[in-house]
Amino acid sequence: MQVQAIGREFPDGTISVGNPPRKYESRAHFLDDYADDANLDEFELAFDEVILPDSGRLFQVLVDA
Amino acid sequence: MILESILAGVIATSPIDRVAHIPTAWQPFAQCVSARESRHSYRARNRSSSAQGRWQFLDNAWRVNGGIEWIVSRQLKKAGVSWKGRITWVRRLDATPIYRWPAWAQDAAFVGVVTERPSGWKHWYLSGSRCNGLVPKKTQPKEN
Repeated sequence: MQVQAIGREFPDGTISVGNPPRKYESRAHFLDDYADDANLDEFELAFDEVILPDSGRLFQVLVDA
Repeated sequence: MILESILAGVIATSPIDRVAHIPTAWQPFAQCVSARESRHSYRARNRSSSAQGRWQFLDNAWRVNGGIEWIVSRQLKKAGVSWKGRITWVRRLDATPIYRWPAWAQDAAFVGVVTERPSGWKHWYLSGSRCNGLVPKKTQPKEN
């Protein structure tokens, strides 16, 4: 697996992924749309174990190498 | 005859059965933790925290604010489940408190956590617990 993008889920539930960032209003919207938006067949997420109360949680979008 | 029975069992095993299988080396630790945390109850709920299910994952940290469903997804991928099948389960598990997850999903999450990272088992570290000594040796750090 390799890192395709870095994302952040904010405390308000919104998600921002990649650079330039794609923004999603909820985790559900992200799950529905991200594969198509990023032109991916499939992906996995790996979350950082550290939650930052004010700035949300970082995650990596992983794809097969 | 015995070999045929074994092969039939292997062939009949579904991906769901395979992801719920706890590796042999981890079974003593898993049994100990399961007894200590929930008395083996998949529906267990802690009264003073969001700890839930057989493994007492903190629902707030692991599901609501985290991505435990993706750990299950990776176990499903290893078992050969398609992207369509995996993303369906990711959505379903993300929307469901852990104590209401099916047993196979709770067990798959446990297996993923203890096997993906050498330090994964430390989520269940408890000072003085005999479970600590049941962690497979190769995952424990060398003593100085």
